[in-house]
Amino acid sequence: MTHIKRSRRLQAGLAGLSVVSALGAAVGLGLTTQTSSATTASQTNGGSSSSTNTGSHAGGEGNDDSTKSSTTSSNQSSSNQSSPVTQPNNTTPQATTSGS
Amino acid sequence: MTAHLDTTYRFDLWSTTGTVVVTDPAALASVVEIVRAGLDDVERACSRFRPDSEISGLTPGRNRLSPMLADLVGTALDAAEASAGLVDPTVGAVVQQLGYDRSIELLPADGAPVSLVHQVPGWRQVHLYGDKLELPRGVQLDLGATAKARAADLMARRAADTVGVGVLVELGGDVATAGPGPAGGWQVLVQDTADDPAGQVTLQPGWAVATSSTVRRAWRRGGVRLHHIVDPRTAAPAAPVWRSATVAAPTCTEANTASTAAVILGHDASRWLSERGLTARLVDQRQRVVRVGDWPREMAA
Repeated sequence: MTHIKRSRRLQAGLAGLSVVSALGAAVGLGLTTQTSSATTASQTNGGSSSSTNTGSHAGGEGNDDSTKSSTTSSNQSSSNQSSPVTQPNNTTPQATTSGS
Repeated sequence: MTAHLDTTYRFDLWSTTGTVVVTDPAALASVVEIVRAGLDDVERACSRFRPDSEISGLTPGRNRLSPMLADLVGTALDAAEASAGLVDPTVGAVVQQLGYDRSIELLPADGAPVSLVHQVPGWRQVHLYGDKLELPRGVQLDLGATAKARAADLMARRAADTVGVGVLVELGGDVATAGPGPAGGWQVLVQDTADDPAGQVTLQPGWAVATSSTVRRAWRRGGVRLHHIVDPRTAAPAAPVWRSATVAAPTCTEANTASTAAVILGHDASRWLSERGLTARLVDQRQRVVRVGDWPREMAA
Protein backbone atom coordinates (compact mmCIF):
# COMPACT_ATOMS: atom_id res chain seq x y z
CA MET A 1 0.00 0.00 0.00
CA THR A 2 1.24 3.41 -0.81
CA HIS A 3 0.95 4.76 2.65
CA ILE A 4 3.13 2.02 3.98
CA LYS A 5 5.76 2.74 1.36
CA ARG A 6 5.49 6.39 2.25
CA SER A 7 5.76 5.53 5.86
CA ARG A 8 8.93 3.59 5.29
CA ARG A 9 10.41 6.55 3.50
CA LEU A 10 9.64 8.65 6.52
CA GLN A 11 10.81 6.21 9.11
CA ALA A 12 14.14 7.99 9.40
CA GLY A 13 12.24 10.89 10.85
CA LEU A 14 9.25 9.32 12.43
CA ALA A 15 9.81 6.02 14.06
CA GLY A 16 10.41 2.43 13.38
CA LEU A 17 14.05 1.92 13.01
CA SER A 18 16.07 3.65 15.62
CA VAL A 19 16.88 7.17 14.69
CA VAL A 20 20.33 8.38 15.49
CA SER A 21 20.10 12.05 16.14
CA ALA A 22 22.71 14.65 15.67
CA LEU A 23 23.31 14.35 19.37
CA GLY A 24 23.98 10.67 19.12
CA ALA A 25 21.03 9.52 21.17
CA ALA A 26 19.11 6.65 19.65
CA VAL A 27 15.36 6.75 19.88
CA GLY A 28 12.49 5.12 18.09
CA LEU A 29 8.80 4.54 18.32
CA GLY A 30 8.79 1.03 16.96
CA LEU A 31 7.79 -0.40 13.63
CA THR A 32 4.51 -2.17 13.22
CA THR A 33 6.62 -5.26 12.89
CA GLN A 34 7.36 -4.83 16.55
CA THR A 35 4.39 -6.39 18.24
CA SER A 36 4.95 -5.58 21.84
CA SER A 37 2.84 -2.49 22.15
CA ALA A 38 -0.83 -2.96 21.40
CA THR A 39 -0.93 -6.65 22.05
CA THR A 40 0.64 -6.53 25.45
CA ALA A 41 -1.13 -3.51 26.80
CA SER A 42 -3.67 -5.23 28.96
CA GLN A 43 -3.80 -3.21 32.12
CA THR A 44 -5.36 0.03 31.10
CA ASN A 45 -8.69 -0.59 32.74
CA GLY A 46 -9.80 0.72 36.02
CA GLY A 47 -8.24 4.14 36.07
CA SER A 48 -6.53 3.52 39.33
CA SER A 49 -4.97 6.46 40.97
CA SER A 50 -1.51 5.01 41.08
CA SER A 51 0.40 2.77 38.77
CA THR A 52 2.28 -0.13 40.22
CA ASN A 53 5.57 1.09 38.94
CA THR A 54 5.31 4.36 40.76
CA GLY A 55 4.54 2.96 44.15
CA SER A 56 8.06 2.97 45.43
CA HIS A 57 8.83 6.51 44.54
CA ALA A 58 8.95 8.64 47.60
CA GLY A 59 8.70 12.36 47.48
CA GLY A 60 6.55 12.51 44.42
CA GLU A 61 9.21 11.86 41.85
CA GLY A 62 11.29 9.00 40.67
CA ASN A 63 12.93 7.34 37.76
CA ASP A 64 11.20 4.24 36.59
CA ASP A 65 13.89 1.79 37.50
CA SER A 66 11.58 -1.14 36.98
CA THR A 67 11.59 -0.44 33.30
CA LYS A 68 15.02 1.02 32.98
CA SER A 69 16.54 -2.24 34.08
CA SER A 70 15.29 -3.83 30.90
CA THR A 71 16.73 -1.26 28.56
CA THR A 72 19.83 -3.06 27.52
CA SER A 73 19.36 -3.08 23.76
CA SER A 74 21.71 -1.05 21.63
CA ASN A 75 18.67 0.89 20.53
CA GLN A 76 18.24 2.39 23.94
CA SER A 77 19.46 5.76 24.98
CA SER A 78 22.42 5.58 27.24
CA SER A 79 23.42 7.71 30.14
CA ASN A 80 26.68 8.25 28.30
CA GLN A 81 24.89 9.92 25.43
CA SER A 82 23.52 13.42 25.31
CA SER A 83 19.90 13.64 26.32
CA PRO A 84 17.42 15.73 24.36
CA VAL A 85 16.36 17.31 27.63
CA THR A 86 18.66 18.35 30.44
CA GLN A 87 18.55 20.46 33.54
CA PRO A 88 17.41 24.04 32.93
CA ASN A 89 19.83 26.91 32.87
CA ASN A 90 17.77 28.91 35.35
CA THR A 91 16.45 31.47 32.92
CA THR A 92 12.80 32.17 32.27
CA PRO A 93 11.12 29.45 30.21
CA GLN A 94 10.47 30.43 26.62
CA ALA A 95 7.61 28.01 26.02
CA THR A 96 5.44 25.55 27.87
CA THR A 97 4.53 21.99 26.96
CA SER A 98 1.16 20.88 28.21
CA GLY A 99 -1.77 18.90 26.97
CA SER A 100 -4.27 20.75 24.86
CA MET B 1 -0.93 39.51 18.39
CA THR B 2 0.92 39.97 21.64
CA ALA B 3 4.53 41.00 21.50
CA HIS B 4 6.35 39.59 24.51
CA LEU B 5 9.94 40.61 24.87
CA ASP B 6 11.49 40.94 21.48
CA THR B 7 12.04 37.34 20.54
CA THR B 8 8.64 35.90 21.42
CA TYR B 9 5.18 36.08 19.86
CA ARG B 10 2.12 34.55 21.54
CA PHE B 11 -1.24 34.02 19.94
CA ASP B 12 -4.52 32.12 20.23
CA LEU B 13 -5.50 29.32 17.88
CA TRP B 14 -7.60 26.18 17.80
CA SER B 15 -9.05 26.65 21.31
CA THR B 16 -5.55 26.85 22.69
CA THR B 17 -2.49 29.06 22.42
CA GLY B 18 0.69 29.15 20.42
CA THR B 19 4.13 30.62 20.78
CA VAL B 20 6.85 31.51 18.31
CA VAL B 21 10.35 32.19 19.64
CA VAL B 22 13.36 33.17 17.57
CA THR B 23 17.04 33.52 18.32
CA ASP B 24 17.28 36.87 16.53
CA PRO B 25 14.74 39.58 17.39
CA ALA B 26 15.14 41.12 13.96
CA ALA B 27 13.69 37.95 12.42
CA LEU B 28 10.58 37.69 14.58
CA ALA B 29 8.15 39.44 12.21
CA SER B 30 9.25 37.39 9.20
CA VAL B 31 9.08 34.13 11.10
CA VAL B 32 5.65 34.91 12.52
CA GLU B 33 4.35 35.69 9.05
CA ILE B 34 5.56 32.33 7.74
CA VAL B 35 4.17 30.42 10.70
CA ARG B 36 0.75 32.08 10.70
CA ALA B 37 0.31 31.58 6.96
CA GLY B 38 1.21 27.92 7.29
CA LEU B 39 -1.18 27.43 10.19
CA ASP B 40 -3.98 28.93 8.14
CA ASP B 41 -3.28 26.26 5.51
CA VAL B 42 -3.38 23.56 8.16
CA GLU B 43 -6.69 24.77 9.53
CA ARG B 44 -8.30 24.97 6.10
CA ALA B 45 -7.11 21.44 5.43
CA CYS B 46 -8.04 19.56 8.56
CA SER B 47 -10.28 21.41 11.00
CA ARG B 48 -13.20 19.11 11.72
CA PHE B 49 -15.06 22.05 13.28
CA ARG B 50 -15.09 24.10 10.08
CA PRO B 51 -17.72 23.00 7.58
CA ASP B 52 -15.68 24.55 4.80
CA SER B 53 -12.50 22.67 5.63
CA GLU B 54 -11.16 20.13 3.21
CA ILE B 55 -11.50 17.25 5.66
CA SER B 56 -15.15 18.13 6.28
CA GLY B 57 -15.77 17.70 2.59
CA LEU B 58 -14.30 14.23 2.24
CA THR B 59 -16.67 11.62 0.86
CA PRO B 60 -16.62 7.83 0.83
CA GLY B 61 -14.50 6.54 -2.00
CA ARG B 62 -11.62 8.25 -3.70
CA ASN B 63 -10.74 11.81 -2.76
CA ARG B 64 -7.99 13.95 -4.23
CA LEU B 65 -6.25 15.85 -1.47
CA SER B 66 -4.38 19.11 -1.33
CA PRO B 67 -0.66 18.73 -0.62
CA MET B 68 -1.24 19.87 2.96
CA LEU B 69 -4.03 17.43 3.75
CA ALA B 70 -2.17 14.63 2.01
CA ASP B 71 0.80 15.36 4.25
CA LEU B 72 -1.34 15.44 7.40
CA VAL B 73 -3.23 12.26 6.56
CA GLY B 74 0.01 10.53 5.64
CA THR B 75 1.54 11.64 8.92
CA ALA B 76 -1.46 10.28 10.82
CA LEU B 77 -1.17 6.93 9.05
CA ASP B 78 2.55 6.85 9.74
CA ALA B 79 1.86 7.49 13.41
CA ALA B 80 -0.69 4.71 13.45
CA GLU B 81 1.77 2.32 11.92
CA ALA B 82 4.62 3.39 14.19
CA SER B 83 2.44 2.98 17.29
CA ALA B 84 0.98 -0.36 16.16
CA GLY B 85 -2.43 1.24 15.91
CA LEU B 86 -2.52 2.91 19.30
CA VAL B 87 -2.70 6.35 17.73
CA ASP B 88 -5.39 5.88 15.10
CA PRO B 89 -6.91 8.62 12.92
CA THR B 90 -10.12 6.66 12.32
CA VAL B 91 -11.50 7.49 15.77
CA GLY B 92 -13.46 10.41 14.34
CA ALA B 93 -16.92 8.88 14.64
CA VAL B 94 -16.26 7.71 18.18
CA VAL B 95 -15.00 11.12 19.26
CA GLN B 96 -18.16 12.68 17.86
CA GLN B 97 -20.31 10.07 19.55
CA LEU B 98 -18.64 10.87 22.84
CA GLY B 99 -19.89 14.41 22.44
CA TYR B 100 -16.77 16.20 21.25
CA ASP B 101 -18.45 17.60 18.17
CA ARG B 102 -17.48 21.27 18.37
CA SER B 103 -14.70 23.43 19.72
CA ILE B 104 -14.01 22.41 23.29
CA GLU B 105 -14.97 25.77 24.76
CA LEU B 106 -18.42 25.41 23.21
CA LEU B 107 -19.20 22.01 24.73
CA PRO B 108 -21.84 22.00 27.46
CA ALA B 109 -20.47 21.04 30.84
CA ASP B 110 -22.70 17.95 30.89
CA GLY B 111 -25.33 16.31 28.76
CA ALA B 112 -27.22 13.14 28.03
CA PRO B 113 -25.34 9.90 28.67
CA VAL B 114 -23.57 8.41 25.69
CA SER B 115 -23.81 4.77 24.76
CA LEU B 116 -20.86 3.64 22.76
CA VAL B 117 -21.96 1.58 19.80
CA HIS B 118 -19.27 2.43 17.31
CA GLN B 119 -16.05 0.57 16.94
CA VAL B 120 -12.94 2.19 15.58
CA PRO B 121 -12.64 1.03 11.95
CA GLY B 122 -8.87 0.98 12.12
CA TRP B 123 -6.26 2.86 10.16
CA ARG B 124 -5.61 -0.02 7.80
CA GLN B 125 -9.01 0.64 6.24
CA VAL B 126 -7.71 3.94 4.91
CA HIS B 127 -5.38 4.07 1.91
CA LEU B 128 -3.36 7.01 0.69
CA TYR B 129 -1.85 6.81 -2.77
CA GLY B 130 0.13 9.99 -3.21
CA ASP B 131 -2.61 12.61 -3.09
CA LYS B 132 -5.43 10.07 -3.59
CA LEU B 133 -7.25 9.02 -0.45
CA GLU B 134 -9.47 5.95 -0.38
CA LEU B 135 -11.94 6.44 2.44
CA PRO B 136 -14.40 3.63 3.25
CA ARG B 137 -18.00 4.51 3.98
CA GLY B 138 -18.57 5.36 7.62
CA VAL B 139 -14.95 6.21 8.37
CA GLN B 140 -14.41 9.68 9.80
CA LEU B 141 -10.88 10.92 10.16
CA ASP B 142 -9.78 12.86 13.20
CA LEU B 143 -6.26 14.17 12.78
CA GLY B 144 -6.28 15.85 16.18
CA ALA B 145 -3.66 13.54 17.60
CA THR B 146 -0.98 14.39 15.06
CA ALA B 147 -1.88 17.44 12.98
CA LYS B 148 -0.88 20.04 15.54
CA ALA B 149 2.47 18.36 16.14
CA ARG B 150 3.09 17.98 12.42
CA ALA B 151 2.21 21.62 11.93
CA ALA B 152 4.73 22.63 14.58
CA ASP B 153 7.41 20.55 12.85
CA LEU B 154 6.61 21.95 9.43
CA MET B 155 6.43 25.57 10.48
CA ALA B 156 9.56 25.52 12.62
CA ARG B 157 11.56 23.95 9.81
CA ARG B 158 10.09 26.16 7.10
CA ALA B 159 10.72 29.36 9.06
CA ALA B 160 14.24 28.40 10.11
CA ASP B 161 15.21 27.44 6.57
CA THR B 162 13.67 30.55 5.05
CA VAL B 163 14.89 33.15 7.50
CA GLY B 164 18.06 31.48 8.70
CA VAL B 165 17.58 31.78 12.45
CA GLY B 166 16.76 29.42 15.27
CA VAL B 167 13.01 28.94 15.69
CA LEU B 168 10.79 27.38 18.33
CA VAL B 169 7.13 26.82 17.45
CA GLU B 170 4.76 25.76 20.21
CA LEU B 171 1.16 24.91 19.35
CA GLY B 172 -1.04 23.94 22.25
CA GLY B 173 1.91 22.53 24.11
CA ASP B 174 3.50 20.73 21.15
CA VAL B 175 6.99 22.18 20.85
CA ALA B 176 9.19 21.89 17.75
CA THR B 177 12.54 23.56 17.18
CA ALA B 178 14.69 24.06 14.11
CA GLY B 179 17.92 25.81 13.32
CA PRO B 180 20.45 26.90 15.89
CA GLY B 181 19.28 27.24 19.46
CA PRO B 182 19.85 30.10 21.86
CA ALA B 183 22.84 30.06 24.14
CA GLY B 184 22.12 27.43 26.77
CA GLY B 185 19.43 25.72 24.71
CA TRP B 186 15.66 26.23 24.56
CA GLN B 187 14.06 26.60 27.98
CA VAL B 188 10.76 24.76 28.25
CA LEU B 189 8.38 24.61 31.18
CA VAL B 190 6.72 21.22 31.54
CA GLN B 191 3.39 21.59 33.26
CA ASP B 192 -0.04 20.41 32.19
CA THR B 193 -2.37 22.44 34.37
CA ALA B 194 -1.74 24.89 37.18
CA ASP B 195 -2.51 22.07 39.62
CA ASP B 196 0.15 19.78 38.20
CA PRO B 197 3.81 19.52 39.15
CA ALA B 198 5.98 21.86 37.12
CA GLY B 199 9.49 21.31 35.92
CA GLN B 200 11.70 23.25 33.60
CA VAL B 201 14.11 21.62 31.18
CA THR B 202 16.59 22.61 28.54
CA LEU B 203 15.55 21.23 25.16
CA GLN B 204 18.44 20.69 22.80
CA PRO B 205 18.22 22.53 19.47
CA GLY B 206 16.58 20.47 16.76
CA TRP B 207 14.58 18.39 19.21
CA ALA B 208 10.92 18.49 20.09
CA VAL B 209 8.72 17.79 23.08
CA ALA B 210 4.99 17.11 23.38
CA THR B 211 2.51 16.45 26.15
CA SER B 212 -0.74 14.49 26.07
CA SER B 213 -3.25 14.96 28.84
CA THR B 214 -6.33 13.28 30.22
CA VAL B 215 -7.12 16.39 32.25
CA ARG B 216 -7.44 18.98 29.51
CA ARG B 217 -10.11 18.74 26.81
CA ALA B 218 -12.44 16.87 29.12
CA TRP B 219 -16.21 17.09 29.54
CA ARG B 220 -19.10 15.14 31.08
CA ARG B 221 -22.00 13.19 29.70
CA GLY B 222 -24.52 11.66 32.07
CA GLY B 223 -22.25 12.76 34.89
CA VAL B 224 -19.42 10.63 33.54
CA ARG B 225 -16.17 12.39 32.89
CA LEU B 226 -14.85 11.92 29.37
CA HIS B 227 -11.71 13.14 27.61
CA HIS B 228 -10.48 13.37 24.05
CA ILE B 229 -7.85 10.63 23.87
CA VAL B 230 -9.65 7.56 22.57
CA ASP B 231 -8.24 4.09 22.96
CA PRO B 232 -8.92 2.53 19.55
CA ARG B 233 -9.02 -0.94 21.12
CA THR B 234 -12.01 -0.07 23.30
CA ALA B 235 -13.52 2.88 21.41
CA ALA B 236 -13.68 4.75 24.71
CA PRO B 237 -11.55 7.39 26.39
CA ALA B 238 -8.28 5.91 27.58
CA ALA B 239 -8.27 4.91 31.24
CA PRO B 240 -6.84 7.92 33.07
CA VAL B 241 -3.90 6.16 34.65
CA TRP B 242 -1.79 9.21 33.83
CA ARG B 243 -2.78 12.83 34.12
CA SER B 244 -0.24 13.61 31.46
CA ALA B 245 2.61 12.13 29.46
CA THR B 246 5.45 14.22 28.04
CA VAL B 247 7.95 12.85 25.53
CA ALA B 248 11.03 14.34 23.86
CA ALA B 249 11.92 13.15 20.37
CA PRO B 250 13.65 14.36 17.21
CA THR B 251 10.33 15.58 15.81
CA CYS B 252 7.19 16.83 17.46
CA THR B 253 5.17 14.28 15.50
CA GLU B 254 7.15 11.46 17.05
CA ALA B 255 6.96 13.06 20.48
CA ASN B 256 3.20 13.51 20.27
CA THR B 257 2.63 10.04 18.87
CA ALA B 258 4.57 8.56 21.76
CA SER B 259 2.92 10.73 24.42
CA THR B 260 -0.53 9.86 23.11
CA ALA B 261 0.36 6.17 22.98
CA ALA B 262 1.65 6.39 26.53
CA VAL B 263 -1.67 7.76 27.78
CA ILE B 264 -3.52 4.98 25.97
CA LEU B 265 -1.21 2.28 27.28
CA GLY B 266 -1.73 3.28 30.92
CA HIS B 267 0.28 1.06 33.21
CA ASP B 268 2.36 -0.26 30.32
CA ALA B 269 3.46 3.20 29.25
CA SER B 270 6.80 3.48 30.98
CA ARG B 271 7.92 0.07 29.75
CA TRP B 272 6.79 0.86 26.19
CA LEU B 273 8.59 4.20 26.19
CA SER B 274 11.71 2.77 27.73
CA GLU B 275 11.88 -0.08 25.24
CA ARG B 276 11.96 2.52 22.47
CA GLY B 277 14.74 4.50 24.07
CA LEU B 278 12.49 7.51 24.56
CA THR B 279 12.98 10.20 27.14
CA ALA B 280 9.73 10.96 28.92
CA ARG B 281 7.95 12.27 31.98
CA LEU B 282 4.69 10.82 33.26
CA VAL B 283 2.44 12.34 35.92
CA ASP B 284 0.11 9.96 37.69
CA GLN B 285 -3.23 10.65 39.35
CA ARG B 286 -1.49 11.43 42.62
CA GLN B 287 0.57 13.98 40.72
CA ARG B 288 3.75 12.00 41.18
CA VAL B 289 6.34 12.33 38.44
CA VAL B 290 7.85 9.25 36.82
CA ARG B 291 10.93 9.89 34.71
CA VAL B 292 11.71 7.55 31.83
CA GLY B 293 15.09 7.32 30.12
CA ASP B 294 17.26 10.36 30.57
CA TRP B 295 14.57 12.77 31.69
CA PRO B 296 16.32 15.02 34.24
CA ARG B 297 15.33 15.34 37.84
CA GLU B 298 12.83 18.07 38.50
CA MET B 299 13.88 21.51 39.53
CA ALA B 300 11.37 24.03 40.69
CA ALA B 301 10.10 26.01 37.74
